[in-house]
Amino acid sequence: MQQNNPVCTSIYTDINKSRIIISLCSLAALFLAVIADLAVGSANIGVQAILTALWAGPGAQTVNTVVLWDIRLPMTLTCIFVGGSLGVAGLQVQTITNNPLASPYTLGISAAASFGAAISITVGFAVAGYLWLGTSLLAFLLAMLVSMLIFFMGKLKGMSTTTLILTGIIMNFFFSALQQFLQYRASAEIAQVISSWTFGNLARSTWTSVAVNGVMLVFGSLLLLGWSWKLTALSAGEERAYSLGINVEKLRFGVFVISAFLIAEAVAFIGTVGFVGLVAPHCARLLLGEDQRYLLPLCACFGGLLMLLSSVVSKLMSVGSMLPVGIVTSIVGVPFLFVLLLRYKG
Amino acid sequence: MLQLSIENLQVKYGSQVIIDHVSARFNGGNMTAVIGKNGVGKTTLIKAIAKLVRRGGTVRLYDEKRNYSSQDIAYVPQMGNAAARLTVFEMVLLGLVKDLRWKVGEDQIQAVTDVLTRLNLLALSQKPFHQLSGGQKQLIFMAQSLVSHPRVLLLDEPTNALDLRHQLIVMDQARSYTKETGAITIFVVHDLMLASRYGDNMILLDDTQIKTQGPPQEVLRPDLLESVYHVKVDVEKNGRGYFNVTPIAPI
Amino acid sequence: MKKKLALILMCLLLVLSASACSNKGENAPPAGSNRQQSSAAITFSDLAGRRIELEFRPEKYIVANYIANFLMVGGAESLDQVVGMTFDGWEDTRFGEYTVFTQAFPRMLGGEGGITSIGGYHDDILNAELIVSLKPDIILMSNSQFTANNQSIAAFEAAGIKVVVLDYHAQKLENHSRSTEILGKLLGREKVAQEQIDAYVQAINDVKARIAALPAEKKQKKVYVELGNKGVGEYGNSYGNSMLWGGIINNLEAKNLAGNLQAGYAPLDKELVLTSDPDTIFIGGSIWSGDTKGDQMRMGFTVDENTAQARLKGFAQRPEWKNLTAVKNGEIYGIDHGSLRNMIDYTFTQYMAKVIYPDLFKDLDPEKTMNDYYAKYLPELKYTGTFMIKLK
Repeated sequence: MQQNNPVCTSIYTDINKSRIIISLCSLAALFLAVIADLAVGSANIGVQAILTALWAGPGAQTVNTVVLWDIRLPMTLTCIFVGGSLGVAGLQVQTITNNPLASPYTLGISAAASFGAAISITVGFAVAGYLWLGTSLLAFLLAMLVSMLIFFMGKLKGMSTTTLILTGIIMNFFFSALQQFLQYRASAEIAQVISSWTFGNLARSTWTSVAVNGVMLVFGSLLLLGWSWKLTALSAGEERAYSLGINVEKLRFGVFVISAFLIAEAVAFIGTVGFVGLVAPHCARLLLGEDQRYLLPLCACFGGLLMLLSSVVSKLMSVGSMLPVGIVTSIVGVPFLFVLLLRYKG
Repeated sequence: MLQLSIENLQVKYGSQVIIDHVSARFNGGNMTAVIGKNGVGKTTLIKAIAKLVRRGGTVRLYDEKRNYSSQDIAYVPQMGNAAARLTVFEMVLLGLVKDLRWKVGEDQIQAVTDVLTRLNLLALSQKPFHQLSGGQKQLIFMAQSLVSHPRVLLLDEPTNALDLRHQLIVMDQARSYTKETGAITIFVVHDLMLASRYGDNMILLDDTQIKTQGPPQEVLRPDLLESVYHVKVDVEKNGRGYFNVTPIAPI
Repeated sequence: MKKKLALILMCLLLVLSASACSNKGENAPPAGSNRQQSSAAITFSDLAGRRIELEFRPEKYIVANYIANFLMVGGAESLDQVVGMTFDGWEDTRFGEYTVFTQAFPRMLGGEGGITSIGGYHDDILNAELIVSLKPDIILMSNSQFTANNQSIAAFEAAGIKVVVLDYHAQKLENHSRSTEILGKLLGREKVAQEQIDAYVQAINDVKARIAALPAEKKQKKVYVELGNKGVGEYGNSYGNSMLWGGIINNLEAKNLAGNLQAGYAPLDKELVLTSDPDTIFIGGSIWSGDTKGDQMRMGFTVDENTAQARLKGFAQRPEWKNLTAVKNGEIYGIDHGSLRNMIDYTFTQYMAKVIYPDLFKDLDPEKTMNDYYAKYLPELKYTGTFMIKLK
């Protein structure tokens, strides 16, 4: 065999080319989904009117512009960013727990967020006069508090996969119990608001949530992308990554912190949305393999895509009241999971 | 010529001393086998050389021109139940993980190609790693380490769980790399025959210390082996010049 | 690592402050709304403590809650001004009320020229887009809807829709009064509203005063209230002293068996009921789904008396209740759960007062008062039903 084998080189670059093509196609699909989500809604605005309203900008005071700029756009953008955050966080949680069945909720952070929201709803905590801001803030704070707890547990006992999973189980049970206690003691109306918060609902989107979700997703992703190769090595085997000179503990800590932020911001505004964080990474892996340079952005893309599809479905299925998107993602996600289970070769 | 010198190497886990006051010198182009009972610290020794565990003492790697660092020392673990879903090509590429940037360089791709060619595994480059046989996986692990052109190659029980054919292939590849590049290879084995066949030198570890080191005929002595392994043995050289160690009965 | 954390935190702060500013922008009044006016025509504080100012009386309403109270104050014609209400799940959760109201006011069923449904009973979340596209002037909602839809309030106000929060759920005299007063102001029916408030306040105060005058030994009656939605086999919820029926019992200075409840409401322990041996038992009824054994308590609109009595008998004949004082004396009563959260619920306070202190309230006829009330304020509502009964 020749030393200089152009065939081998070209195969590798071909693979990367096909990955780029898949990524571009996914982005295109995402773009189409955005259009679809903006076009669908109970106000029944025609495509022409939508374009006019988009062009008119947020200041104009017509029904269509209010619907588009104050209701639909925040919902669609939040949808993408939350889906993206959950996709990325899901991928990283699976990486650092070395468990392909892990999801962003495995760590117990979202249970803490729900509890934070429950407290806020019970006491009527408001920030700058806005109840929803208080709820989101408390949800976020409690999520971060629990993340710090897990962080210090990791410092104490070593940030191993076992520590993470076990701590996550404890946190999940603990905070679910606390939240149920709050519901038990509350009036029927408050209990209903608390329980409906746990169904992620895009109706809770605002431009604030768009900003926070968007900025944190971009930031978190950029930081993680800088570690792409190390993460790829980690997913190839912890022992081997370690012996290749990677500080696995430090890497896990860093990834954990970023994932915690992503999960907290994804859940804080619209509530918990299931399945996206579990399914998006698997779909991306099936198409692209394990190279995190491509896997990470595509997880974000697929997460956003899955959420957008669920949003469109929930809008089409709702007459009068809005079906929470958190319910639909589970319904949409289950067939995905079945297909994956069938294709998973041990 | 390349020289690796370890002096007073010590490793402790908590209060327990695993290896103590271990000193040795290794020359480039030579392979050294490390043998001893289970749990005596052979893996710890080579991990300490690779700076993968906390160690006391000094490790120096140098030749006439310059000094080298632990970056030039590569440790190859047992392939165990490694089941990465990456392709073989990407797995080997990970050997360069410290130097990989967003865009993979032409030279890096070339390095991977070279090492796969050298190991006759180029045909497997697109296959998913987890679908390989045990022997192939171990070779890929070695390729991962070789791709960065290490000056010291540390092999941790590379032939465990491999069939006869792959045992020889893996060790032959290690030897040819050592001889061709003048690198230093230290390998941990249980099989005393492999140890003496491929080892230009041997180190017998016992009770945190080096009991004996030297060429195989000086280390594979029945009295030494009996005192360390507590087994009565016969040592003989066969027609090809390879040492055979036959265990007779436990003492 | 720490640098990165600090960067993230800084970003978060930046973003929060940026959006806090942008939120104020969203709440700016719609352009052109500052038409020359001297002072606002209608001002009040709503039940979420928000200052509400309206230059003009609202013409188009969305009533997300308390449609019954709305109609009682506004009269049947006021429904013409309603373009949206919460409709989904109304039939399932409050069948009696649904049947009677949709029969009297078919516009509620939707369709051409009808009222659009903008949300439902399962979930407090309202359909923001639909609300905005209906172009109402004002939307009336409950406190929990205000909490659950908090993020959409800004969008509503940007679209020029006033958001007003009412509260009849707390079952407090003050909240009932203020909510009714607000409805009166909005609908230009201040006089009617004031009548209803006066009747309510006067009735409650009268009941309380008479009871207060009693010596302590006459206020020892033990009362057990249970919601009959779980049927005979399982005990339904009882209410603590600050909630719904429990609050009423407490106001009547009787001994609420559930007075020490930790939670706001919960089923009582069967043994507790037995050992407490109540003197009077009220079973709350309604038309619920899931009546698999056919023994839920039935009360309210469209329920005929025979059915109500039969169901009540089922509870009275609970085997473990054989020896209870209340059972032996036949002091078992049925009350309509759906009638709470309504200005009319003072008649139920009167009824329970009459039951607990029969000699003190001989002059009251709560059921007639209730029927007269409906006849006066919403005569278009033709109904049959059973609301207050004693076991025969």
